[in-house]
Amino acid sequence: MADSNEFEPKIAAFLCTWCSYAAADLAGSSRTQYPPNIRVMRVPCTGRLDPFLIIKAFNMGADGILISGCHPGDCHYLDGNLYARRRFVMLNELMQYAGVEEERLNFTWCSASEGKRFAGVVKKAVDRVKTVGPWMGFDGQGFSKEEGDLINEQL
Amino acid sequence: MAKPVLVLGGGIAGIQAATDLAEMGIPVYLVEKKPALGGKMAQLDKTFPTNDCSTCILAPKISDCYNHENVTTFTYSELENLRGTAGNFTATIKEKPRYVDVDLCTGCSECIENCPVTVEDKFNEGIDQRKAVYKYQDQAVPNVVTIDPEHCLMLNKGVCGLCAKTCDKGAINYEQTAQTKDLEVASVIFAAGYDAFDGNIVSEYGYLNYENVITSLEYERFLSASGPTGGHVVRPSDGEEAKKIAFLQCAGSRDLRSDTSYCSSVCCMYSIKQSIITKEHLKEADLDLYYMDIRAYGKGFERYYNMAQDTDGINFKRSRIAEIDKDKDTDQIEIKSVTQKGDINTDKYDLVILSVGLKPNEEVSQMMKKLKIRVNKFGFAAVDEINPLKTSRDGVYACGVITGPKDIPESVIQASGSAISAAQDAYQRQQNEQNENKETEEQKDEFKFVDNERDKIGVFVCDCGTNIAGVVDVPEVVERAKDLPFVEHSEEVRYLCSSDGQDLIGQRIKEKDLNRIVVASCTPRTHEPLFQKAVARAGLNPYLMIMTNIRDQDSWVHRDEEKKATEKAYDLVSAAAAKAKKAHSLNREKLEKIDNAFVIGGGVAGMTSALELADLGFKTYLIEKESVLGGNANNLLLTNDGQPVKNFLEKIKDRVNNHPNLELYKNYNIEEIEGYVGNYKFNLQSNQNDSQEELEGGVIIVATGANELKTDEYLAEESERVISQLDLEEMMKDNKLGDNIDKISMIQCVGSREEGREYCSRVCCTQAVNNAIFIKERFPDIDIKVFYREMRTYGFYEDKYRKARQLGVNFIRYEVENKPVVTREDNKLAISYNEPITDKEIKEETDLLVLAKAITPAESNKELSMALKVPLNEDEFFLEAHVKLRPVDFATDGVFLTGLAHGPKNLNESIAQSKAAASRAASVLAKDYLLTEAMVSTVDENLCSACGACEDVCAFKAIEVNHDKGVAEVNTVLCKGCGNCAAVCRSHAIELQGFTNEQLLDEMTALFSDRKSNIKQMGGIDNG
Amino acid sequence: MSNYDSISQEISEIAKKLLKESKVDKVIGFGLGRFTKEITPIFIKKAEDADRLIFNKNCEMSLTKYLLNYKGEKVAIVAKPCDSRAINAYLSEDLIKREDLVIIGINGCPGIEGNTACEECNIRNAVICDYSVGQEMSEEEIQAEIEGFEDEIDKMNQAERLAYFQNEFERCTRCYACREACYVCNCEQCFTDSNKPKWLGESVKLNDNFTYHLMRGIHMAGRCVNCGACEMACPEGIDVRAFAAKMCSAAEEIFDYKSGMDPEQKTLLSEYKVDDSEKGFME
Repeated sequence: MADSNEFEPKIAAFLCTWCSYAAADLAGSSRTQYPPNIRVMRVPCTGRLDPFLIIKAFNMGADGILISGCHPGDCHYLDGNLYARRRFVMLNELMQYAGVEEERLNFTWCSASEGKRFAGVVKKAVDRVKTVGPWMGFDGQGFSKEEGDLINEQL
Repeated sequence: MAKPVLVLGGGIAGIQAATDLAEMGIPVYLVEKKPALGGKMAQLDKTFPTNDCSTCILAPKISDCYNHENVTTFTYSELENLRGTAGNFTATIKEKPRYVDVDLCTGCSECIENCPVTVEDKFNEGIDQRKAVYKYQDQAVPNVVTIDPEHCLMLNKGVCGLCAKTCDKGAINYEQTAQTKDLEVASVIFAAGYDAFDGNIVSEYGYLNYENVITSLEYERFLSASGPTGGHVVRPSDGEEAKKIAFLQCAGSRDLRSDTSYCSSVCCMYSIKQSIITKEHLKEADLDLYYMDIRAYGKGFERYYNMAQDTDGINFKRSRIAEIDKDKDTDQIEIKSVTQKGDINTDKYDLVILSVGLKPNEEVSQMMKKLKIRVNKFGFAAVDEINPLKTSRDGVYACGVITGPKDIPESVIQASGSAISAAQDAYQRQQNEQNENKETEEQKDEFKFVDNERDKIGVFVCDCGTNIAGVVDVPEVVERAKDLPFVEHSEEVRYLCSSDGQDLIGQRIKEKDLNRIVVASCTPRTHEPLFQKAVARAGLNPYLMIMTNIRDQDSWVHRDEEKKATEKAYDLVSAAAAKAKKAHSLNREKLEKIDNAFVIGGGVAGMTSALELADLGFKTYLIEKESVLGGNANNLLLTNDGQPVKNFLEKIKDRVNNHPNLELYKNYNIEEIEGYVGNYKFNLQSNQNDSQEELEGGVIIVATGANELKTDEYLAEESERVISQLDLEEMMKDNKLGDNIDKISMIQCVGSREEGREYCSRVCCTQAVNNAIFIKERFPDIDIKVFYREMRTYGFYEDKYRKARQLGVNFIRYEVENKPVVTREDNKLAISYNEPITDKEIKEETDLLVLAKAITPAESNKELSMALKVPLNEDEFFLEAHVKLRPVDFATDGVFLTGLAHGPKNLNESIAQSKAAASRAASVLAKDYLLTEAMVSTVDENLCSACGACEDVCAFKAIEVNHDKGVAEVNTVLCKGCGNCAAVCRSHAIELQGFTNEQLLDEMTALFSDRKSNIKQMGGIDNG
Repeated sequence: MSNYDSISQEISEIAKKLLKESKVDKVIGFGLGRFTKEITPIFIKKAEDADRLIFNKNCEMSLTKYLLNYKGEKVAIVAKPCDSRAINAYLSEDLIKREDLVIIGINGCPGIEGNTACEECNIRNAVICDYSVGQEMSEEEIQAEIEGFEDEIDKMNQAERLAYFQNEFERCTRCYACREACYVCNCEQCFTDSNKPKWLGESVKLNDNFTYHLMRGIHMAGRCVNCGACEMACPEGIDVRAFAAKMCSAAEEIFDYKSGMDPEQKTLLSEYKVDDSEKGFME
C-alpha cells in the first residue's frame, strides 16, 4: 500500500490528440513508467484550449496543470499550437501575478515519437507541483468534503 | 465497384498512392514486405527543411490509409507473380507466416518480455536488440507481433514456447504457414522504395573496421527520441558523448568505385538536417561536412543550407577524403583530406557519419525484370522524362525512389500522380458495371434519436487479458462506476475489442436500452473507429460512445502502483461518463457538389492536369490568359533525356484542343472567384473582346507557371552575344550555331541563390550540361566553359555532368563574392575570372555568353493568391499546405497547385506533379457527395457578436463573419474540427462538437470531485 | 499637458459646428447631470446645447461602449486617449463603422482624479481622431509623467500576491459594475450568466470571486486599454484593474503589443509569430 503521508498531487493534463497524446501512448507501449498523478483530457489541438478551462481546473481543485501539444511546426492543424502558445504565455503571466505558484503551471511540447520525453515531462511536472504542496483553492481554504459533494451534485 | 488496384510497398509513397485511390472510390490492395507500414520514413527522426517530426506527420497518414474502407492491407507479404495485361492483371501475393494470429493479437507485448532470445533490431539499424518475437516498431501498424522464424527456439528446435504460454488470447500459432492469394487487379503501382547503401560500399572509409564510423541511417536512429539511445549522440565504441563529428558526403554516390555513379539527391539535405538537429541536441558539438557540391536544389533548401552555414560549429569543407584511420589510444577517427587547391588537412573525430545514398532493393529489381518491367542500368524502374511514372509494362506504374533517388515530397507527388494513371485503368473497367453499383450505394446510416431521452449510460471496462486487469482492479472500477450518475449498466469484459466483446456491447444496448456508452480500454487513436462501428451496428449514433484509455496511459505506465492505477482508472471512467452524458448525436453531412474542374494556366503543367481529369470523365475548364498554349516549354528543345519537346507539346496541345470533356478558354482573364470546395464560381473576361463567361466547378488547380529572370547583370541587356540558356536552345533549334563561334562561356546562378532570391532555380545546371553536350557532340571544336558555384546535377543527371567533362567541357568554380566579370571591347566580349586551382586571375575573349537566369515567380501570383485566399512563400511562389506530405494541396480544401507556380522544377517533375494535382482533385470530384467531418464547430447566433476573432485564427477559411447577419458562420465542408475558433471566442458562441465546453468542464468536474481526500492525506489538514 | 477648461471649450465649439452643419445626429460627451450635478455621459443633439459639454478631472467613464447603442447613426464622440484606443479596438472588430463616426480626441490628457491607471498611462494623445483638442504631449513629456512608476504587486512575493488578491476579492459582491463599465465587456451574454456551460457558481464565495476576476483578466489580454473605468466603478474599492493592467504590461513586454493602437490591428491572441516567446514554458 502506497498509503503514506506524502502529498500526492492530482494534475489536470490536456494533451493534443496528434502529438502529445500519441507520445503518452508510446510511453505506454514501451512501458516507460511515470507517476500516476495526471488525469488526461484529450483535445484535438492545444488550440482548442480556452484559458478558462485552465483557470477552472484550479477553481475545482487541481493541484496543477500540464499542457502539451505538438512542437511548433508540427501542428496537425497547421498553426493551432502557435495560437495556443500565446494564450498560455499570457495566462501564465496572469496566474503568477495572481499568486499561483509557477510550479503548478506546466506547458510544454511533445512529439509523437517522444514517449520517453513525455514520461520525463510528467515526472518533472509532478515533482514541481510537489515542491509547492497541495493547492488550497483561490480562497486558501482547501477543498472540503461538502464542496466535493456539491460538485458531485452539480454533475 | 471499380476494379481494384495493387500497390506494392507500404512506405510513404505506397500509402499516399493507396489513400488517393481509395479516396477516388477504388478498392486497393496494399502489400508491404515488412511486418508494419511506414517504410523508411518511419525510421527518420526529423525531416528537412522544416525539422518536422517524422512520426508526427506520418502516423496519421498511416492510420488513415490502414483504416480506409477501400484499402485492404497485406503486411509481411510479397508479390510472387503478375500475369495478364492492363485492366486484367492477376497478382499472386504470398503472405509470410508471422506465427501469430493477427485477429487475436492485441499488440500488448507481454510475449516479447518473456521471450528468451535476443537478436539485432533491424528497425534500429542493428544498433540495439529485439527479441525473437517482436513488434517491428513501437508504433507499428498493424499493432501486432511477429515471430522471427530464423531465431525462434520453438520453430527451430521445438523447445521454449514461452510466448504461447504468456498469451492468454492464444494468438501464437507455431503451425502457421505461408498463404498465397490471387488478386484480380486493373493496374499495379510499384512503390517499393529503396535500400540505403551498405556502409562498406567504399571500403576505404573503414565502416567494417572502425566502430565509430556509422551510416547516416544508423545516425538517424541515434537522433530519434524513440531510438536506441533516446536521442543521445554517443560514440558506439564507448557510449561517450560524441562532440566532434564528421559527415562524409557522397559515400558511394557519384563514385565510380561503386556501381552507383549517380547522385543520391537527398544526402546533402539530410546531412544538413542531421547537423542542425545534432546542434540542437548538443550545443557544443563541432561538425564538419566534407562535400563536393552541396545540392540544395529543392524548395526552401537553400535557406536551410544558409541557416546551417550561419550556425557556429557547422563547418562545410569542400575537400576530397584521402585517408581514414583510427587513433588507437582515443578511438577517434583521423581523416586526411585534400582541398581543391591541394592543401592537406588532418582532423580527428569522435564519430564519422557516412552519408550513404539510395539504391533499389536487389530483389525488387529482379522481380521487375522477371515481370518484364524494364529497369535502368542501376536497377531502378526505367521511366522517361515525359512519362515519369509509367513503366515499360502497360498498366504498371512506379513512384517514389523506385524510379530514382528523391526526397519525401517528390515521392508523395509521384505517388499521387501514379494513382490517377492507375485509376484510369480501374475506371475504364468500371464503365460497364456502373449501373449495378448505384443501388448498393444508397445504404444510409439511420440512428435512433436519443439525445432528448433520459441518459442511460453503459460502462464497459476491458481487462485486455491481464494487460489492464493485471494492474487495475477492474471489478472495483466496475462496481464504483455503477454509482456514477445516470450509469445504468457497468460490466467487465475480458477482451472488448474481440468480435464477442463488440457484439456484447450491441447486445447490452438493446437489452437495457442504453443510449450512452463508455468504453474504458486502450487508446482511442487506434480503437475508436472499431468501437464506434460496434455501437453503430446496434443502432446508436457512434458519437455517443466515449472512450477512455486505461491501458496505454494507465496500467502500462503504473505497473507497480496498483492502487493508484485503479484510482486513476476510476477517475478516467467517471470523466468519460460525464463527457458521455453531454454527448450529442453527430453526423457527417453529405453535401452536393459540382463535378467540374478549373485549371488555371495552359502550360505543360496545366495541360497535363486538365487532360488527366478530362480523361477520367470530369468536365474541365482550362483557362489561359495568353493566346498560345505550352508556356515555357515552347522554348525548350530537348527534354533532359534527349526527346524533342516539340513533338510532345504538339501531341498534348492537340489532345487539349480536341478533348470532348475539356473546354479551353484562351485569352481569358479571371475577374472573380468565389465559393469553396465543391462550389466554385469563376467570372472570366476575354482580353480580346467583350465576351464574359460564368463557370462553375468543384476544384481548382493552379498551374500558372513562372518566368525567366529579367536582368542586366553580365551585360545581358547590352550585347546580343549575351543570351540566356533558353535563347541558346532557340539557336540550337534553328541551327544557328556555326562558323563564327569558337568559344562559349556559360555562367550559372544568375540571380539565383543570392540576396533577395534565396533559392536555387534547380533546372539550370542540368540544362547547361545538356546544352554543352549537345554543342560538343555537333561542334567538338567549340570551347565551352561553365562557370558555376555548385553543380547541382542531381539524380541520374550526374551522368550527364560526367559526360560533359569527358567531352572536354571545362567547369570552373566561382564564389558568389567573386563573380566572373564580363566586359565588352569593340563588339568583343571578354570574361575575367579567378581560376580556383591555380588561384590565377584570367581574362579571355568569348564569342557567346550564356546566362543561367533564375526562374522567378509570375507577377500575377499575388493577385491570384488573394483571389483564392491561398498563401505565397517568401519568394512569392505558391505555398503548399505542407512541404513534406501535402506538396500539391493548399490548406484550403479543393485548391491544388502544380508546376513552376509551386517552385522551379524540371519538365518530368512538372508532369508528375500535374498528375498528382489532378489525382488529388479527382479524389474530391470522384465522390458522390462532399462529406463533412462530424466534429465541427457550430455557432450560437444569439451569443455571437461578430468580432471576427474566429475568422482570424482559422487556418482553413472555414469560419467567416456574415456582415449582413452580424454573426460568424461555419462552412462545415471546410472545418477540420481543431477548435481554435472555440477557444478564441470570448462570448463562447462557438462550440466544437465532440469537445464542447460543457463536456470538458464536466470531465474536469468528475476528475476533481473528490478533492477532499487529497487534503486529508496531508495528515491533519481537514477543513471538512 | 493640456488644461481642462480649454479642452472643454474646444470640445463645445467643435460639437456646435458639427451639429449646426448636421454632420452628426448627436455628440456623446461628458456633462453635468441635471439633478445630481455630477459628471455623467450626455448626448447632445442640438447645437445650442453644445455648451453643456465639459471635460474635467471627474470624467472617468469610458464613453466608447455607447457607440454600440447607436450603430447606423452618425455620432460624434469625445475620446480620451484611452477611449480612442477602445474605438480602434471596436473598429478592428467591425463593431462600428468609421464613416459613421466623428472622433473628438483629447491630446495631452491631464488625467482623471483618483484613477490610478492615469499614473502609469503612457499613451496620452488620442491615437485616432477627426478633431483633436488639447495639446499633444511629446514622448519625453509622457516619460517624465510616468517616471518612477512601479507595480507594487509585482514586487511582492507569491504568497503576498495571493494574500493581497484574496483580501481584495473577499469584498467582491459580484455586482459586475466593473464589467458594465468596461468597453471590452460587450458579449451578448457574459460567461458569468451562462448556464451551459456553467463557468461559475452564483454564490459569492472567494474561490469563485477570484476565478471570476481571473477569467475577466484573461479576457482583457490584448484588449484592455488600461482606462481604469472598472476600478473607478467598483463600489467596494477593490483593485479590480490589477489583472487587466498586468495583461497590458505583459503584452507590451513579451509581445511588444499595445491594444487599440490601430484600427486594422488584430487582437493579441488572434495572431502569432513563429518565433514567439515561450516564457514560462517548461525547460
